[in-house]
Amino acid sequence: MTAHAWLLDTGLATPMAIGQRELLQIITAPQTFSVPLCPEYARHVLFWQQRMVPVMDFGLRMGANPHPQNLLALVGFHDALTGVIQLGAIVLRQAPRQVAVNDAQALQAEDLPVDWRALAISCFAHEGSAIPVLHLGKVFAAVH
Amino acid sequence: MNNTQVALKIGTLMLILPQSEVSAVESCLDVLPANLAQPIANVVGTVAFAGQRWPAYCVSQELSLMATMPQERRACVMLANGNGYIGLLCDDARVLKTLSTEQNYPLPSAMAVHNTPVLGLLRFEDGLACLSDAAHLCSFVQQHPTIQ
Repeated sequence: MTAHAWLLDTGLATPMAIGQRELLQIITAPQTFSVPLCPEYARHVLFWQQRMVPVMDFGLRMGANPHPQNLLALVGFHDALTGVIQLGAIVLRQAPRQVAVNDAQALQAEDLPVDWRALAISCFAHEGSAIPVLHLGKVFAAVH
Repeated sequence: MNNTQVALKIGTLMLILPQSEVSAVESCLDVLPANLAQPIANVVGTVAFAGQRWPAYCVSQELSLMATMPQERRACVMLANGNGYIGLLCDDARVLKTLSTEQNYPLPSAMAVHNTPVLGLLRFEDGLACLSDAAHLCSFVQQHPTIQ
């Protein structure tokens, strides 16, 4: 079976993936607003269609350098806690790339670095790397 | 139910809390420097209210506690903390009688940190305002690690 995913470049050595239907829109040059005291990687919000959206620099969260927030992936995901569709925005270094993934590319969670395992729902092999598929509900969940 | 709010301007930060939780607005000229002989953690001075002197706190627009008071701070709002009052310095305080609460958003869970006084967010004028209340502001300034 073949499925499609989006590869996101967040500034890390390896891209990460999200499901095809989780990417709602690419936002360029967004107007974002800073919120005091928040973690450095999740300090901004934007407004989109009457909804407030947290902006996450996932690369920064995982050790990359900060990056200007001029290209964002707007994502939607089902929040198991609230049962509603939640929105989030992920800071990108370049536009996402769509890839086809088949069953033969599936990897075990142990193939990912330890830090990634709690945030990935699965992973697959692509161009010699283990690509984590983000569990967006966990990525945008409370850290503290 | 009285939904009147008060907007505190602190640099570029707009902090909005229920008017019912603001006991008074004093002038920062009434804030006397902290007593070095009996220092209270993070306090920039004391302010007279209701027959006593109460600790006054100063925060930056990033909500970092400040050891000194910038010139822009001109007002001191008095907030009840259960055991008395604290003063919180701001550039100005204004009453918002027509504030729409329909576009209030809770702080996204990924952005929350322990003891934050920011409970929610609101589109406000050309920017963003942070929603808070007296209890969380008092807890924040009084439980914050001591500034050096």
